[in-house]
Amino acid sequence: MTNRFPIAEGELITQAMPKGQAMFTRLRKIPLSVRIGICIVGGLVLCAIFAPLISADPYQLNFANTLSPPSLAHLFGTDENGRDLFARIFLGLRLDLLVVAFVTYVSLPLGLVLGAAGAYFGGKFDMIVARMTDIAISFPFIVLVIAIVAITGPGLKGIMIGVPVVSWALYARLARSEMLIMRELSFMEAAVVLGFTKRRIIFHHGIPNLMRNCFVYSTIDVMGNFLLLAGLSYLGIGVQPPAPELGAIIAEGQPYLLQAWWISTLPGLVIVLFGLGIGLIGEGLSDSELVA
Amino acid sequence: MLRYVSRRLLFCVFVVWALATVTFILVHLIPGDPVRLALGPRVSQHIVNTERGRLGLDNPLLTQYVSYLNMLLHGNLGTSLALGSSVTYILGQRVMPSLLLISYGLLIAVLIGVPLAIVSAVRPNGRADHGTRLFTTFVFGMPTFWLGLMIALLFGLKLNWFPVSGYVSGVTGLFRTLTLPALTLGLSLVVLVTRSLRFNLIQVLNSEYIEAARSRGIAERRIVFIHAMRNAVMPTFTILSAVIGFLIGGTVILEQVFQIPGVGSLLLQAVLNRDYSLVEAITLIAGTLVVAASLLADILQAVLDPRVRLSR
Repeated sequence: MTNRFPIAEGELITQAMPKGQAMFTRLRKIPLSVRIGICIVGGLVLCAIFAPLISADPYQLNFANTLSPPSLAHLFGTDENGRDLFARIFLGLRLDLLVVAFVTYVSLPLGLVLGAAGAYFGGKFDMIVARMTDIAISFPFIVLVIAIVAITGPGLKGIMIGVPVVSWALYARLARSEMLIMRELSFMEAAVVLGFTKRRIIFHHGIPNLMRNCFVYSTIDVMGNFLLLAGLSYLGIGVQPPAPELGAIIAEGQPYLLQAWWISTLPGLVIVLFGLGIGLIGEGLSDSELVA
Repeated sequence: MLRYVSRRLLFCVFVVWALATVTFILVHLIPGDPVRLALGPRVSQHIVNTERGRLGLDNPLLTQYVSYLNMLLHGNLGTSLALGSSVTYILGQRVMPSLLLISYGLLIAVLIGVPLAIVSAVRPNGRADHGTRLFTTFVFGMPTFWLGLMIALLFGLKLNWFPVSGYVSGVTGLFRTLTLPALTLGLSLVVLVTRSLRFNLIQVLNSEYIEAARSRGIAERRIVFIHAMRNAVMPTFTILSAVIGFLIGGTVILEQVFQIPGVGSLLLQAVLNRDYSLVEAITLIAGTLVVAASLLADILQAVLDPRVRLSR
């Protein structure tokens, strides 16, 4: 089968190479900052996955050993109830990443399909999509999510509903603006001439080409959603105790800021490190082909 | 020009109406009786029923919707069931600290962000540019509440320069109590200001009219500050107007960190008390502010930049 999508020059070269070598060439084209970013994010994700296997029980109370500073027995120290912070932080990270991945990658395909279909069909349908996007984008995002939390009650439900309700719109706007241009390109016209169904044109020819920018944007969105989730949990209206969550752990440590700096500082550093990795990936990807 | 402004204005009215409708629907989706929630379980059913009648909660939904819109048009935001007084009055008492915090934060963001953007745009990929980029990439992933705590730990608890919580009015009191939260808010905004201004400055500095100015022998300093800045600053301004929503969200969190009695902490309190009319009102006001800010930025841009005016 021939390649269905327009391909860049670099890919033409890699296609002529043996498979292993082609992959190597492609890997080498990835900017350094992206590679560092992937290492940081990947390392943290691995820690989040495997931490429960190597660390102590995150719920185990030990009142003989409260507020103890970082040591070999407790890498990140213990909190005011003597619970091991290393275990709590990485279990919290796992929960955060799961929720963030869910809310981000539910919104992405939703917005992508709506935006692409709107731009392709045009007319009334497009106008409705465009207006809905405008409205959703002009809502004050955090306040609206808090309002939804007010209704569902504190907990994850409000965030899982509230975030996708708004954030699909950014992907829709991005996909729509690109599809409007792509619709006029010759490979799309060719697909029409060949008599492909509209569904096939949109899903097999349009969307694969739109996905890249949406994914680049989603790196920023992932971080935004992470900070929102941690922020709401810090306020006490996100993840509920005793479940560990990074923002909630920071809030728990706030009264002990002077006696036990590690409780609030270390979870924050984990978030900053994750943000640094995500930032490097996003920046490197957008720099490499000047995605606005 | 007039047509452009009136079309934008019409759309803003439409968005505010949509926001009002969405909050109305959200509040009426809540299972359970809001009056029962506000008055508590020990109040007799009779009193709850009279209160429901007084608030018009037994009317058909459409009637309630119409009277709700009517109320809004008259500037009446309703009554807080939990606090027992009018929402406008409660908000009036809380709005000042939040407004001051946001403006002070914006000021700090500009004071730090603009010089950073200039030094990195003048020599792209130079040392200052890399340093700035490293700094913004670090700050990008910082949770505002954590940054706030760290700033409080450093400047408040260790160095004892500023108090770490509370709010005192008067110029010196405001300076003492608001500097740390505003610094936090400002730092979280610096990323946006620096990146957008740097990007625009680099583009403008490569344009032909700057080339022409250089060839006429105008001092580089004058070119950057007078000729280039004028065109580069506008898109940054538009972006700043778009982050008003983010700023309002930021105050909710920072007012909690630094214990400032503003609208943000009021919203949190309303959420925890399940005080729906108050949540509804704050959401609506925040939304209106965001819409108004973007309208203002668009109009300002059209007034200042003839290219925008002509293209529509």
